[in-house]
Amino acid sequence: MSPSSPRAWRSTASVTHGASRVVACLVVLAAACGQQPDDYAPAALRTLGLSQSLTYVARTLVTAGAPPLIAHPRMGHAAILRAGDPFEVAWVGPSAVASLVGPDGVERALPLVNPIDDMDHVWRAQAVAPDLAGSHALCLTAAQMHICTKEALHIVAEFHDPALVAQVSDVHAGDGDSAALFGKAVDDLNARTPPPDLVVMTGDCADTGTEAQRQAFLGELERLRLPSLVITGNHDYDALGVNGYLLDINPELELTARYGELRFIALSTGQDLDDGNHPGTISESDGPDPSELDGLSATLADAVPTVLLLHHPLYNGLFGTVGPARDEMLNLLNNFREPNQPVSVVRAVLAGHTHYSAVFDGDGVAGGLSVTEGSLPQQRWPLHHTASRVSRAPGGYALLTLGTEVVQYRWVALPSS
Amino acid sequence: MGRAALLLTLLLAAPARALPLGVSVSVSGGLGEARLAGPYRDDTTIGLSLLAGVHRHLALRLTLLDSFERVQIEARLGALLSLARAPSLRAYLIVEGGVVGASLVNTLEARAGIGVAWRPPLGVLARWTALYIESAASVRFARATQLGDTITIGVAIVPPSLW
Repeated sequence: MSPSSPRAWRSTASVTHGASRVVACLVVLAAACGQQPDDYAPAALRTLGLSQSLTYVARTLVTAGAPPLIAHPRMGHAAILRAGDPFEVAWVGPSAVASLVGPDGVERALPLVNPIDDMDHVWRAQAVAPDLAGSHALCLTAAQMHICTKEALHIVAEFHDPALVAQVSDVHAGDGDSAALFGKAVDDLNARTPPPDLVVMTGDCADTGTEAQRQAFLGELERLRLPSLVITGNHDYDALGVNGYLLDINPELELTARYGELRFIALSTGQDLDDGNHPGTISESDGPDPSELDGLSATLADAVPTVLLLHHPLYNGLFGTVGPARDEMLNLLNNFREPNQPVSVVRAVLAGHTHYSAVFDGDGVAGGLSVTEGSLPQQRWPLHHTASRVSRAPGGYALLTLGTEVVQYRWVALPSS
Repeated sequence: MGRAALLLTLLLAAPARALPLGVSVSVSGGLGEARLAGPYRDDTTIGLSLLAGVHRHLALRLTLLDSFERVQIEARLGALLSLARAPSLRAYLIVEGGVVGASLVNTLEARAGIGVAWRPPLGVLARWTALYIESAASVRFARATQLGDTITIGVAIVPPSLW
């Protein structure tokens, strides 16, 4: 996609759009999947590192005079806060003023404290969460340009511990009626009592990564009345590379988000950024790369209970889907334990990609664990949970209870009618 | 039934002259133990085996298994060594190595155990049918070493010279 594509600079509410072909790649192996570009990520992004995708967007994809592109929070990347909580707003583009559109439909100014341009036109500023509970759209205005993102802030009265987290994976919008089946899941999630505190989507939103597929995905996501975090999968890049995803879905390939005492870290394994040899490997991903491992190690050191989101599972019932760095990643996850306790800082690792559900403990042992429902004792943390495809009829999603003391999981099958 | 048995006999008898071959289907389950997990009930699995007699007292067995409870395949190759014989009974030693689907590239399994095969009085099928029960201890080498003990029951279609 061209950097000047008008769809990237939509000046109406909700920047948006949309996300099939998969286990077939695992089964038929790489030879049959060799139609992807030689490399999923541009050299400039590989050079910067995955966590610096916002800077890559600013340097490479944003043109002068374009409206600001909101990074955090943004569609599919909500901030869940209590009234008065501080939070950061980041955007790419010119200097801007901010406002919020609350659940009452009224737009109110949002004072930004100490906005800083990091010289790459990546702006960061502090703000304070409003005291009106519910969903808020975040809007930025620069010159005559105005851009809003729905479900950007979700103000709650209190955080639940444990939190109820719904995991949706592998929508593959564009593959038959997948988008419609995802829509059923959205309806089910919206109607669920009690409502999930957060919805996480573990990649492959689009089937081949075309704009139409992204629009189909985001069209359904927009109806979700719950805060959500969205990460990339390998199929999100097939048609247009990583640029389309960064501009449409989320300019941050990786993210860290908080829900009360719980932290969510999303790492991108959706592309083979290291050597560009994705089509030739069974593993489908060499990730995580060294910068990701370093960043994860530094972040986990503070011992905040963490949920890790990946597209490629680290443990798998059939094939390895993560390459040589897998063991290093697992060593890192297993080594962060709470002081004087045999409890892992990482409560759960949630993944997708394989289109079948799988459950393992921190050692990769599936024994004694039901695939569909169970509770993982603390000594077996972190839970490695791979979710089946939401859009394989009749479809379904995982419902996890995750907290400082509890790790439980359950598969929710959607009605077949 | 009689024709089917005759056909099966003819099919298996021909190669048996060269190398006695047989097939079996089994169901197994058991207990395991791992570092974090402690003791656990292991999955119930179904197995399909191909047997080849390479000596009067030795058969090779290739087995493919899958769990009833999750996607987790395994391939095993091993040997069955006769320990004792009676007219319709045989006791044997089992030694097998396997590759387990979970983290395929680095989960290996070694097993050893004993089995008893019995040829029930089933008329024309008696010479070709054996019911068996096995008990085997296993160790899986992955990120965490897993110990296990498995009970397997199965039915085999094998020529008399093989089992």
